[in-house]
Amino acid sequence: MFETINQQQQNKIILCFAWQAEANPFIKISNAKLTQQNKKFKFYSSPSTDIIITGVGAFNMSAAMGWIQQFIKDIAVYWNIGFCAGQEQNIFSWFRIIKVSYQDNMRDFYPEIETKSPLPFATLRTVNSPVNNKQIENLGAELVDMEAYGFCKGLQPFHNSSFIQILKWVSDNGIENFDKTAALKQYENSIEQVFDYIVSRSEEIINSHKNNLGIINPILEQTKEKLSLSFTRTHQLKDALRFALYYKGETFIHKEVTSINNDLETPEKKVSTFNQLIKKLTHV
Amino acid sequence: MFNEFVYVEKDISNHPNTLSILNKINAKEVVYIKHYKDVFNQSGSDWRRQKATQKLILAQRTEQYYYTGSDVTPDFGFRHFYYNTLALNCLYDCDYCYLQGLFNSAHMVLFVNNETFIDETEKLISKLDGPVYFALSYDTDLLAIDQWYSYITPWINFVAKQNKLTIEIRTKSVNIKPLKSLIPNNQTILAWTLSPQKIISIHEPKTPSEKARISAIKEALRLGWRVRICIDPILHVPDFKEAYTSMIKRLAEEIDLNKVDSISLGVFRMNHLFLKRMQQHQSDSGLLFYPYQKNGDTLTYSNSIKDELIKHVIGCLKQQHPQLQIVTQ
Repeated sequence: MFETINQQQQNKIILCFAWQAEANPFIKISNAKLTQQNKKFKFYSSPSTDIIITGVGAFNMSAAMGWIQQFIKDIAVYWNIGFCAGQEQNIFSWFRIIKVSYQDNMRDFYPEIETKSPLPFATLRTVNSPVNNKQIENLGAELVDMEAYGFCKGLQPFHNSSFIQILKWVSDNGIENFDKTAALKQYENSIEQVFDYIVSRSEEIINSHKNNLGIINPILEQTKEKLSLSFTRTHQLKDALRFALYYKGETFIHKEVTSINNDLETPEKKVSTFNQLIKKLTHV
Repeated sequence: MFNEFVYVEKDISNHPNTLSILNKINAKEVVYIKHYKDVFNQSGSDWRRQKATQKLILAQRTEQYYYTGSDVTPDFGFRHFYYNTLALNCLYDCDYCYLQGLFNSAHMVLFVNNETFIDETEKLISKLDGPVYFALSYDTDLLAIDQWYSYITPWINFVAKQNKLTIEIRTKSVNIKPLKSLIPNNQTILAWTLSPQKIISIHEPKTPSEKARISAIKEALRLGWRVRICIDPILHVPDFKEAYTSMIKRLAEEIDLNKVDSISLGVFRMNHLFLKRMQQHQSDSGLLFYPYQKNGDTLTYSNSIKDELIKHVIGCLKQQHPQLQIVTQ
C-alpha cells in the first residue's frame, strides 16, 4: 500500500528497543555505530541494520518512530524487540506477536505474519506502568509490555502492517525481585539465533513486495527525455511498458524503445512517435 | 491451509458453526477479536502479503443480509435481482478479480450465521411481488470452501421449498461432492466460470484447470443440476482467438451443450477506483496495465475490441451449437 519496492532498492532492518541493555547485543552483532542522538533517542546504523533506543513507554516509542523517519531512506522492516512479562512457563522464551492491545476503548493492532513460524505466537498487551503477577492474569493477553502499542501506532501512518513486526522475550512473570542479571545473560545468549530469524523474515517480507519497476524505470526515464513527455503521458507509457513486459518480455520493450530516433525535432513528431510506441507496446 | 491460526470474534467463540469449522481445519492457534473489521479493515493492511499468507476470520453478520444487484452484473431478466455476502474474499487469486480493489484485506471472512441470512431472505421475498433472483457468492467461491463450512446445502434445501426464488451459485471449483448428496431442483443454478487453460495458467492461479472444470460441469449436468457456463471475463490477451476457440471446441466435445441452461458472456470490466487500488497492490500482472477506456465509473475495452471479443466467442459457440441461449453483458 505505501511501499513501492523495485528490484534495485536496498533493504534494511530497523530494530527498536526501549532500553540500551536490550539493544547492546544487537548493536554488537550487527556492528552498528552511533550516528544520531538527541535528548531522548539514540540511533545506531550499519549498512544493513539500524537500531534505535527510545526510552521506556509507549509514548516514547511512538514519538521515536516519527523521529526516525527522517533518517530512513531505504525500504525497511521495523522490529520492536525487548523484554516483556508473561506466565512462569514462558520465562526466557521468544515470541512472535500476533495481536497488540492497549486500552479497551482503543483498536487492537494485528501485525501481518506468515502462517508458519519457528517461534511461538502470542498476544501482547501494552500497559503504561509495570504490572505485578496477579495483574498480568487479568489483562486478557498472554504477554505484557510497555512499548509495543506505541511502536505500532507510531509506524502505522507511514508503513503498511507487513513492515511492522514485534518480537518479545519473556524476562519475568511480574514478580518484583526477579534476577535481572541472570535474565540479561539468558537474553544475550539467545540473540544470535533470533538475529538470523529477523534477517531471514525481513528479507522474505521485502522480497514479497518487489515488482518489475526496477526494469521499467530506467527505460521510462530514457524515453521520457527523448520524447519530452508530460506527467500524464509518462504515466501512460509506464503502464504500457508494464503491460508489454508482462506479455512480451524485456527484449521486446528494449527493442521498441531503442528504435526511437534520438533526434526528434518537432513536438508533432514526438507526439506521433509516442502514440506509435504505445500502440506497439499494447498491441495484442 | 488456514490451519496455523484463525481469528474468531469473541461473541461467536462458542457458536456451533465456529466450533465445527475450527475442528475441521484443526486450528492450532485461535486469536480472539472484538469485531472482524478490526482485522479486516485495519489501516495500512498489506493486500498482496495477506493473500500470500491468507488467514481465516470467523465472524457473524449482524446487518446487510443482502444487497441489490450491481450495474456491472447481469440480472438475467429478473426484476428483483439481489446478491448476498455469506463470506468475504476467495481462496483463489485471479488477476482480474475486483475483490482486490473492493476490500482492504485479503483474509477470508466466513460469516457463521448462515441461518440468519436465510431467514432474512425469506422475509424479503415474502414482501416482493414476482420472481426473485439471488446470487449467493459474488464475493467468494462457496463450493471451494464447502469442505470447512457448507453454506450451499441449507440454501439449496431452502430454495427447494420456495416457488418464486432462484439462486445462483457461481464457482470455479470442482468440488461437486456436496451436490451429490442433494436433490437437484429447478431453482438452483450452478454457474461455472470457464476460461481457456492458457488464461487460467497465467491469470487464475490456484484455480482448477479448464479440463477439471469441464469435467465438473459434465458431472453436475449428469446429476440433473441446472448449469450456466460463464465465459466472463473474456480477456484481450495475446493469442486470445486461438485460446477461446480451442476451449469452446473442447467444451463441446465433452458436454452436450443442449443441456446447459445458458451461456453468459462478458468482457473484462472494472470500477476505475478498484483498478487503481489493484495497481497499488504491486501486482505485475499485465492485465492491470492495459489501456482500458473509461465508461462512467467503469474501465473496460474499447467498443471495437469488446465487439471483436464477444463476436469471436459467440461465433465459436454458434459453430458448435447454433441454438444456444447466450446472454451477453
